[in-house]
Amino acid sequence: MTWVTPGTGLLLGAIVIPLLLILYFLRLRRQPLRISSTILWEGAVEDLHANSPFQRLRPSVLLLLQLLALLLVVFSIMQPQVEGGSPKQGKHVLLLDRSTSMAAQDEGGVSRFARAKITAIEIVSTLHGGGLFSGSGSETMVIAFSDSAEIIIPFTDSEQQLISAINSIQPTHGKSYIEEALKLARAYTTNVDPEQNGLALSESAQLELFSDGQIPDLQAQALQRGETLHYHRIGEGEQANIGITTINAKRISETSDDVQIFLSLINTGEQEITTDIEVSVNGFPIGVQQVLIPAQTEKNSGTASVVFMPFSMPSGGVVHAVLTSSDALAVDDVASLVISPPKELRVLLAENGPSLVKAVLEGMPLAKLQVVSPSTLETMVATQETSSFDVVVTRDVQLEKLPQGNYLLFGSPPPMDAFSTFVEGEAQVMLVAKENHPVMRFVRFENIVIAKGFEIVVDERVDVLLEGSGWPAVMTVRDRGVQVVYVAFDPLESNWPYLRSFPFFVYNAVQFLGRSGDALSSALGKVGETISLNVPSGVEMVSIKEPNGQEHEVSVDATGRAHWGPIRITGLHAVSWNGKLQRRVAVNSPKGEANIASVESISIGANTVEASESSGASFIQLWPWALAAVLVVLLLEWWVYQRKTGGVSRFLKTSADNSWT
Amino acid sequence: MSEFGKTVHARPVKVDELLGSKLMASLDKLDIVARKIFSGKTQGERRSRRRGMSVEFADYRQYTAGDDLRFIDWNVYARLDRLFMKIFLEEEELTLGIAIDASASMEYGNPNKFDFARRLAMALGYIALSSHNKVSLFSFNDKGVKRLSALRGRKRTRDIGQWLLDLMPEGGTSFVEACKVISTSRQGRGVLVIVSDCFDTEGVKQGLSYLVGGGWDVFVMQTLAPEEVDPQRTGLEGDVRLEDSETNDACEITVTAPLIAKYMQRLQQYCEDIREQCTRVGAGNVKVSTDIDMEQLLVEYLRSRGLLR
Repeated sequence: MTWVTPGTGLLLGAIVIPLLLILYFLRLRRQPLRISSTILWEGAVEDLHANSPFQRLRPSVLLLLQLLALLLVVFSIMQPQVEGGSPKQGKHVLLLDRSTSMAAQDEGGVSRFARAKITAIEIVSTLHGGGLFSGSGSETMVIAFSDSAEIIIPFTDSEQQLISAINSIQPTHGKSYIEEALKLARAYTTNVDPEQNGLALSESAQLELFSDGQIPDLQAQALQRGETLHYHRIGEGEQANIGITTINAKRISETSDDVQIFLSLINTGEQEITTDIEVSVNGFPIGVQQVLIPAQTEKNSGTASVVFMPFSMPSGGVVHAVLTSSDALAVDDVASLVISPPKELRVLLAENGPSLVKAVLEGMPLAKLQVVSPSTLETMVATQETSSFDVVVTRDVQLEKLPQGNYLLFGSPPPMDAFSTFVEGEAQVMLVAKENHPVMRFVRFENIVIAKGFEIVVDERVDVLLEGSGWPAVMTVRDRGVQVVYVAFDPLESNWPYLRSFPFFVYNAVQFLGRSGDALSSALGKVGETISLNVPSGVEMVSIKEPNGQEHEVSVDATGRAHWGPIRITGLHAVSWNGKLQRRVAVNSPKGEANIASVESISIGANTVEASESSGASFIQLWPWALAAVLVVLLLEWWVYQRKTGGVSRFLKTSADNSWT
Repeated sequence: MSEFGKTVHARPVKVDELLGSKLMASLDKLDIVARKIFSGKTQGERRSRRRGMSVEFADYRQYTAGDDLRFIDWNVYARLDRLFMKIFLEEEELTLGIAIDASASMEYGNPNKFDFARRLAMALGYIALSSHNKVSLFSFNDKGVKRLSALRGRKRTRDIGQWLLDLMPEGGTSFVEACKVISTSRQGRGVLVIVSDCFDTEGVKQGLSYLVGGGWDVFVMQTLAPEEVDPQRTGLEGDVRLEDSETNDACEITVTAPLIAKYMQRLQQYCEDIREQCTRVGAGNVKVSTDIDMEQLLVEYLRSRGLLR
């Protein structure tokens, strides 16, 4: 047995035990009281006729119990601990893998991540043999990592803080990347001496990795000079796992309600597995298919694809796919997909001069197309009647102001701050376009020649989609609830109306604006990424509810978008505002985490690290038991005292027996 | 010094404060009762041992020369032809002695024990004088016995009061010596009421023997203060150093329930001893707490105990 703070305990004992004894030796200074006669009291009092300040110490159970309690207090303050290895010195960094594969449950039903936390706490107890009044000489930092790394607690020698921090770590369903975690650890541990050409001043920290070893980027890392890595293997090897790697849906056509579901499955086991996969929409099963997933080969995992028959889905909803056979990792046995309903748009059109855009819009499947004169449009803008239309399209119409809404403007520049100065643009050809932008999809811009237009000076908010040889030709901006696709020339001043790209452009722009830039796939998120949504004007706060029930309030920024992240777990994230569920974002298990076999050794750079069981034996603290014993002794002392002095009831009973005239 | 037991009640400084008019009115109908028949010196209202001139027939005796012919029973002479004298009972006065303990231990309590004794003596004296009895008062401590003897007639009530007011409690208790002095005094024989706290067990035992042997019908009123009857109820607490008012002996105590219980036990035993001593010598005994109402004590308790009627 060792003592952490023997000096403190002995000092305390040397003070309080003599004090207690002196209290028993010393007689009380009593208040004098003159009475008729003391003859009746004499028999009850034993210390009569004694005048010395001290009395003889008589055997007393109370004194013995009080001495025992004091000795136990002293004992506990000296903080005895049973030997289990000497506390480690130096700095240690605990790296906890909280990726998807750590959610796998091995035998016993405990997840690997829970085991990792238990092991980490044991290591902390081993490293920190310090007690109440002294540190252990060891400092430890805790970092949890998956897609990104997070410092859970910086270097501290407090065992309790470390344990509390480890217990607070939440698992994620992301991929496992250790690079950022190592960078964070080194940033906190490496003290460089600028006068010694960057040589480290102090000894590097010891890294304690708690993982199943399934870390794809570990091979690309390397241990620095003086750095050591302990690999605490969590989980069992040769664990077979099947999972859904991809889920996708496709609408047969824009005008059709039919949707088709595609799935990719993976098997990381050495045996081929036959399983059922069930797909449901909004909770109602729409089909079950049996699928055989082949075993993994030496190089690749076994994969299988499943296609479900198209089914009608007129109003959109949530597609849910579940593998019915159970395995160690349940997270990737489920996948979801949110499908938006097909949307038919309402468009308001105003053109100056001959109708050009009208012919294109009439060819589109729109819910409503209303054509008005420029003066009528100005009136509608003034009375905000345009808000009932998804998109307002103008050509060569100069508007005084733009209320909140979506606009496709040809010719006259929009009255917005983003478009500050402009002059008449000279003739030009098109040079560069953002072909990946939905507006520019299928738009062949090379043949467009413009005779004249508006040379706009734009600020950083404006996204230029088509750049001409002299000035930007097509651009988009979103500001304070107003989204605009602006074509800085009248098509009649170019050859564009005669090209096939013009109707494609009008179609794309109207679809883009009408759906506020949201595509079908935007409702599919990834762990580690951010959920970003366009929010209707007037909404200031958005509530995002995670699959585990945690709710987050997010404020809407100046551009009318709400952002929350990073996404931590898989499942459906519900987005609501104005107290109503508005959207759902499906987050599925990432690829590459299906392999859950725990490896016995890991390779970091050129080094191979074998799994180690523990960093040392732990200490058993005895002082809590001593304090508990103090409480027991004090209770016993109280009982003895009560028994000795009696109770009020006994006294009342005695006095009631006397009858006096 | 603690205030526990210190007298805070108003002390009597005038005779009227010893015996109020209301109490006086209720005492007028009372009289002292003697359990024995005593011989008095003058005629009174009580039957005497002597044969005398009352109307109550006592006995016959043979005529001897010189007897008063008025008392010959002529009817008996007619039947028996012998002369017999009719003897009648004599009615004489009764002496009431009141002995007050004037030691320092009586100067204690709320109400004060000595004040209580003086009021009781005053009341008993008034009753006796009102009933045409003779009253003698004694006060005793270790300095001796003071006395006020042979008072007769209601008009001497004020003398009793003044004498009582002049008394000062001091010194120790010398019960035996006082009893000796009282028993050998020529104050006649009668009822002797002793008002004392009796904190002298052996003295009480011996002293009573002297008094009873001297012919007194003794009645001991053991008077204790409420602070002595029930110390905890009256506020005794904590760690205190008790000092004996007569001997100055000190006794250090920590007031706890067991200690109080033990004190009560010893007090009860002590009072029992006093009662036993009284019973043994044929003396009456009553223990009284000074917080009792005086009228209730006299009219109810002492009547029930046979001292008054």
